[in-house]
Amino acid sequence: MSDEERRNRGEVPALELQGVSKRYGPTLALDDLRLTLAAGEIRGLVGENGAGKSSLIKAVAGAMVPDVGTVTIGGHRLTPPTPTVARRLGVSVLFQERQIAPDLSVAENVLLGALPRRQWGGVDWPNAYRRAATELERVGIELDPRLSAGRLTPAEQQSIEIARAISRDARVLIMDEPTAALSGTESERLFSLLRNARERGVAVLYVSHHLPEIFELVDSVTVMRDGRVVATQPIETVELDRLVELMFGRSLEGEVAELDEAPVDGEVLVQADHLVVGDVLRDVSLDVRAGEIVAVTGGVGSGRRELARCLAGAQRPDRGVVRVGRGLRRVRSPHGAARAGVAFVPEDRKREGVFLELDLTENINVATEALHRVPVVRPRRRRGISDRWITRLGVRAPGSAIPAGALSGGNQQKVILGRWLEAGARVFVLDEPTAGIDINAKLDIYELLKDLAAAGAALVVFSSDFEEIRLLAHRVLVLRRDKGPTWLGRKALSERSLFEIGVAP
Amino acid sequence: MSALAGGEAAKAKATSAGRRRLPKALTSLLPLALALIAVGAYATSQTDLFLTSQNLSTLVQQIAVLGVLAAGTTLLLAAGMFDLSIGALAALLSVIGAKLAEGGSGELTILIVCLACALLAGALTGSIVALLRVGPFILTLGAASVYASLALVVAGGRPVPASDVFATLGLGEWFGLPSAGIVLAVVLLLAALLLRYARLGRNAYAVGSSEDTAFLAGIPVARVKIALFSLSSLLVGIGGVILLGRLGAGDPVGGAGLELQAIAAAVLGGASLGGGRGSILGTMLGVALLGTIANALTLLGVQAFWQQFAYGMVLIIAVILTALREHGLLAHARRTLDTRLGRLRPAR
Ligand SMILES: Nc1ncnc2c1ncn2[C@@H]1O[C@H](COP(=O)(O)OP(=O)(O)OP(=O)(O)O)[C@@H](O)[C@H]1O
Ligand SMILES: [Mg+2]
Repeated sequence: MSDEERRNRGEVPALELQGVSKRYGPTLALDDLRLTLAAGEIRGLVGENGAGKSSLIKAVAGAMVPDVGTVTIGGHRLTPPTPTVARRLGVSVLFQERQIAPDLSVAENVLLGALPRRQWGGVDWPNAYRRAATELERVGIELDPRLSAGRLTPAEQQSIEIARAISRDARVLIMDEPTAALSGTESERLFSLLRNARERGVAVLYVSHHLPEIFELVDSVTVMRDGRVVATQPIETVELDRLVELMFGRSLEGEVAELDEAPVDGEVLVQADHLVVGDVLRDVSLDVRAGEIVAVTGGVGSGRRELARCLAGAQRPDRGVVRVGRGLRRVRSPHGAARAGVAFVPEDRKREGVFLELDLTENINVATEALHRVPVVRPRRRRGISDRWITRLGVRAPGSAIPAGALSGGNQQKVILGRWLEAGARVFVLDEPTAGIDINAKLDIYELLKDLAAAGAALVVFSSDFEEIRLLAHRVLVLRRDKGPTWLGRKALSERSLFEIGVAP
Repeated sequence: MSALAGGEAAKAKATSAGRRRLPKALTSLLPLALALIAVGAYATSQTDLFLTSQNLSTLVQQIAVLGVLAAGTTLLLAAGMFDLSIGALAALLSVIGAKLAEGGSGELTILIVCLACALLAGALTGSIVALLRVGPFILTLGAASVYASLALVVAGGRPVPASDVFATLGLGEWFGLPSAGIVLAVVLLLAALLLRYARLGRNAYAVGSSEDTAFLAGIPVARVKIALFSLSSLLVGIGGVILLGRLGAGDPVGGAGLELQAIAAAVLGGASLGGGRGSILGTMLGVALLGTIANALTLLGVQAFWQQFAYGMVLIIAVILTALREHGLLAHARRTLDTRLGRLRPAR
């Protein structure tokens, strides 16, 4: 029997890692890791923030060189461990961090590295545009392939990456938290594409912190903790509680408490009047009182991101006014908004949320120091401040002195929250605050946000996670591309009502 | 709350990592310091003229202008910016100073005029960069050309003699030490304090690390940029005055190439064109290395043409070493060793 036949019959695993270790300074990101994945299988990969999931993926993609151990793809060793070799062996990856070239067109981004050529080496543009449009249609999104990708919303960029990963006729398809920026409908579309891939004999490795997704999609699940695989099981044989226990090494106590009633007499801390941005945001008004949590949801192109940026002063609406804080001051810049007590947690964490090269002390103190008039800082004091938030928020980091870029995504998010808590913000504008955060930390953050509301803060949470909205929101504003905005009260908030207005699946 | 438990372990580890921090900042400068010592030692072994108090004073005077300019460049680089017009501006200011001296102005007047012009130029460049969002590369390249041309026009194409103004500052001594060196030391100290302890300095690193993040975190990015350009130019004003004193004339081409040397010194000292990094201590070592090489080559009677060659080689070797340390063979070998050893250790 030839190698090829054995591979097709599933005797040679599509992917195999043996004894892979990777150390970053004091952290062992991967610790003698072993994993096998068969063709035609969808494998879920779960684990708390910093467990090493993305590091594993980088090792398979050739994006990182392990210190020891071997990666084998379809019976071929990944040597030298470079992205090119991994691609040639049939690995296609959607990374956790966005990989979009902002100055290139949508088509070039979809077909990155695989643009159709003419005979003499020139690019066959008509063909490229046609193919890009077809690929995008497959993932369920309509985009002009000539647009420049940097101007799209995160969800649209995510769709481009999904189209790219799927279009590369892969044998091993890896997705690291692909649904973080997606709404329900878009996620469903992705799942059916992945199931199709499975039918074609592709091995799929799927990372998510959204456990319902895992139960819905995968055949089997691997749990990682501290850089090791702690269990691999068929999905039918595990229960949610057991999975959580495997992930964190203990069970999670308690549910999220019921939300308190929103105070009716709280001071209005956010007031947006008839906001208009281009043709995405058409006449949206919004009042949020102290103690209240308002959720905003909507699919791709619904103007969600624009609204968030307007509230934070990062973008000027074409028409309308935003006023915030005590005395409802008009917002003109993030600096002005921050002075009025507004915290903004943007959706694109790596690019707009953290300072990757700067240490946690800088990352946490930055907002406070941007606001205070005092021209000097005191190193020891600010170090104490950051150490305190790291402990309070449970950031997994060996101290304040390491750069934020060395933290896993979820831990970076906690650092950003710490930054604004330290700055004493009273208004929180949070764009997908728990994207990429493990459920344990998610529950923490929910508690934290509720405590903030109870202490008199006003919160606007932009989210595509229905469960999150249900747990957190007093009111929900639903934005849609073509129709006007709709408000839902807490009582009307059932899965069904979101479905009816076309947001949830 | 249950999930906060992880924090305890993190805290325990934090203290040990904290203790290791300072030496790490120093070890990254170690190769540079060693190179400096090596060049010094070699020069000493080859000629008796090198390690004399006379020559060391001269050396300090030689590097003073570059040092002052490099301090400003470090501030800009921290924020991911740079100014290619500083050499030409320094020359222009020295010419203006010489012309004023010719017309009978006193040193104080000249100093004030030079600093005011410098500040104005910096504020203007900074405002264009910050408010109109013009990239500093082409803008300051253009400014350099404008200043260089103005300097030639004002000077009439030849150095303007002004032998007495700022002679003490350029060539003399205060308290038995080279006065230019004292000015340099004060500038470096202030710049180092600014980068480390002032809000502006911390904001500069933040802007350099990620401008988008800085903007959304509430840092007034435009103000920070204007302030940094203004400060850097103010230092160019000081540099121009020292230049005038040293040369005893306003030389319209006296500042040629200083901007690139300043960037080279800062990059040798750990700054990066991408921003978010760099320190005054590192820049100071970089300046000292470049200055010592030039000085030693002169003493050893090597043709002056070789100086640029030596600068270039130093820079090339430095960036290669940095790259190797960060993601090359050296780093990989060290990590592999760590991991192998780590696995032999008892359970963590
Ligand atoms: N470039 C790096 N430098 C230093 N440490 C790193 C680096 N990349 C990852 N780490 C560390 O390695 C560990 C594993 O990180 P990894 O990103 O693989 O986690 P993850 O499971 O993907 O987490 P998340 O769910 O938050 O994405 C973490 O402790 C992280 O801090
Ligand atoms: Mg990850």
